[in-house]
Amino acid sequence: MNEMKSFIEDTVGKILRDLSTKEQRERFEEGEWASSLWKTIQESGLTLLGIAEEKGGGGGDYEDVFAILRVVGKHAAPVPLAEVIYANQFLAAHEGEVEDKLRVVHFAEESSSVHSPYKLINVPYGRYIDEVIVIRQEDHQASYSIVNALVCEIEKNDNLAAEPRDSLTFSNLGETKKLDLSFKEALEDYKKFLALSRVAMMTGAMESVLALSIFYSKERQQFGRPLHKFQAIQHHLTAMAGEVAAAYATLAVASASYLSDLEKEQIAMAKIELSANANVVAKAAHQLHAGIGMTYEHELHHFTRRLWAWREEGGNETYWADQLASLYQAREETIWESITHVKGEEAHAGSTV
Amino acid sequence: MRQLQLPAFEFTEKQKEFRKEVRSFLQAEKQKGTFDTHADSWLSGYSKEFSKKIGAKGWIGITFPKEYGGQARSTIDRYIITEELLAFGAPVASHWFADRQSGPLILKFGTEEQKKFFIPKIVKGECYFSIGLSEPNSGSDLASLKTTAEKVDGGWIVNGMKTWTSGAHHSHYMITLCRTSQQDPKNRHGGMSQLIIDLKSDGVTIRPIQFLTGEHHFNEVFLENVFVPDNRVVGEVGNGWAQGLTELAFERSGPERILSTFPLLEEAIRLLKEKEDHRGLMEASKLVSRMWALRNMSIGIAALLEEKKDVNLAAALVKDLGNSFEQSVAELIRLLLPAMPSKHAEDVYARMLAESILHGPGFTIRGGTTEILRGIVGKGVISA
Ligand SMILES: Cc1cc2nc3c(=O)[nH]c(=O)nc-3n(C[C@H](O)[C@H](O)[C@H](O)COP(=O)(O)OP(=O)(O)OC[C@H]3O[C@@H](n4cnc5c(N)ncnc54)[C@H](O)[C@@H]3O)c2cc1C
Repeated sequence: MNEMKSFIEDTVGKILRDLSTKEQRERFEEGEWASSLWKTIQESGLTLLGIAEEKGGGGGDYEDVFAILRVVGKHAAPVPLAEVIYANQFLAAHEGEVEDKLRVVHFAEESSSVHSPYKLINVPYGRYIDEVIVIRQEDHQASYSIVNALVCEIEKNDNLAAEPRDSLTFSNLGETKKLDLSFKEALEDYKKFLALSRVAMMTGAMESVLALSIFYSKERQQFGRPLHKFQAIQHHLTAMAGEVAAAYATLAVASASYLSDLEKEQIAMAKIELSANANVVAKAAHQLHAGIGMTYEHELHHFTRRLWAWREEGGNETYWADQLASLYQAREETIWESITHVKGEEAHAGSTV
Repeated sequence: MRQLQLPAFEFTEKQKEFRKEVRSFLQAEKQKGTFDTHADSWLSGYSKEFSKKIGAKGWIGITFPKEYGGQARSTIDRYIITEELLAFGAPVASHWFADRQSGPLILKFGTEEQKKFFIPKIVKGECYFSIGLSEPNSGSDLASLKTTAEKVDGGWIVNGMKTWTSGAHHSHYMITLCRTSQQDPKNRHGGMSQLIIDLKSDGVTIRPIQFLTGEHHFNEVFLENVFVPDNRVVGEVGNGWAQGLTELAFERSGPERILSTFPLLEEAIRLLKEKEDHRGLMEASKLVSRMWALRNMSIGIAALLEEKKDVNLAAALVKDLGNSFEQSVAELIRLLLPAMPSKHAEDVYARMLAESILHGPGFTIRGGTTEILRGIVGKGVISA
């Protein structure tokens, strides 16, 4: 691990340990925006990470971004950091300089967003954001408009983890600017970022689920022994530890491939993996905690509900398997050649390795 | 938890070139008809000719020091060779244990004479080893083993019996774990030693145990008053248990814990593409994703082993997850491409499906059962 990355991780870890507490998350679920947490995150330059300093950003690269998002997941921080980082980068790329605001992008895929009044659904943190960058299909090109979220009518909704996914209705798009990408390309770019963000955040959440489980299995006694002395409990711990180690390796490899030729395939595999194993971890942890884990009081659900929510976001297993299947069909390469990134000498008509 | 944080490892251009070289060689050999692709070839694919060919290339014991005939190359190069051999389903069983375990053990604990005697032959692909651990009444509870070696002038007299000994009928030697002093209830793992037994010695009887396919893979090895000279004890007398543990991370996290059924997966995907079966490819892509993730883990561990880091916990996890994955391949593929699996099918797919199903249960047993492994990891996680 490079030292800069682990330094940033440690710093963010300290901030979140102090500010993304169980009490803070509970207040958030009762409807209170985590303003001091968000302010600290902004002041630390995290929202502008990955943007060059000349453009008003905080420097750093994408590996830092995903390393930090892992820490965000580890502390189940109730903030839309991934979405805001993407929106800020989008603006930096298209407008030059960015002012740090609470903004997200939204791709107008739903039919309700085609004509005025426009209705966008499942907007992350819609009730708390300053503005939403709406990306729409116009002729064969994509265009974007910056809409003031404060004038939108809000219908509240949330995902399994009580993270806001609101509907925003408004009648005026305002100024529309063309993108030099197709809508599909722009959307794919976002999907990849979001998927890898969720991979990072789920890795962190899995770590915390394991840590809570280890703690509880030492503390709780039954039959005169701590739970971890029971073989069946050891097997649950092993199942979780296995997925945590696999998630780590997956995140490390996939985030190193971001923005390279390999990114699409690797992000697809990474998101399939994390989504598929989210419940391996959640299920084992709940079984180990039994009754207490089913209460609002215990914080296990802050992490397991996020795992269940995030496995759907940025494309679930079905979405990415569909992409991979098309990729396999379209190319001559064997699976082994693509996994090892080395092509054999012979053309592979007919029999393979 | 730091022990679970595995790094990304990028193969260098030189390493990619090397992979290409190994692959081209295997491709050419396969085309010449030197071998057919089989699932689980590292357990059951015996070919002395093939082992010698691989040896002549310098690809057995490639990490061993040059003075004994090795190439002193990195564990990453060995990793590449191993992966390519398994992906091709090549017959590597003859030399497998010598390359993976016995050679490294002798190099680490053996005498100069032992190194000079065994290593050059291992490297040439001419000297094969078996692993003599399990006994009829000592499986998972290996420390309860009963085979004993008694000190006599100039050596040891061994009596006892080993079982499930893979390839003993092909091997020249067996590294035999036996008691060299009485079991001490306070130190169950003390008092055992590793002896190299020449399988042609007087008093050694090897009897086949039929594998459930009817084939001959493993054996019972009876040891009756077998004389083993002093110079065939590996390392320290009484330290056999601890010595046996040292290479465990390599054994548990290697590609053979992930790729045993990979040739079936590759063939299935080729067929699904031929049929343009999009749904089928979608399902298969999930297996590929799992394999990719486990391979990243395994390579991350190999990279840390090269830096001499302690990776025992993560290595045990690779074996657990990898073995389950290997089993799951046949279970999913059979639903995507229905066929009558048969060991005797001419159709490669139907044959490898049969091999994968019939060998499958052994994946989570050999090299330590999943139950035992999970116990070890569970305790490790708690104390980490
Ligand atoms: C294909 C194959 C090749 C092999 N090759 C070799 C070889 O070359 N050399 C060699 O020495 N051995 C070899 N073995 C033997 C292998 O190492 C043993 O089978 C294995 O260690 C288990 O021992 P056992 O079969 O006696 O089962 P047992 O130990 O009797 O176990 C039976 C069941 O009980 C479970 N169990 C046992 N103890 C516990 C416990 N404490 N807690 C929970 N569950 C427990 C086990 O997990 C298993 O499910 C091979 C085995 C196979 C299948």
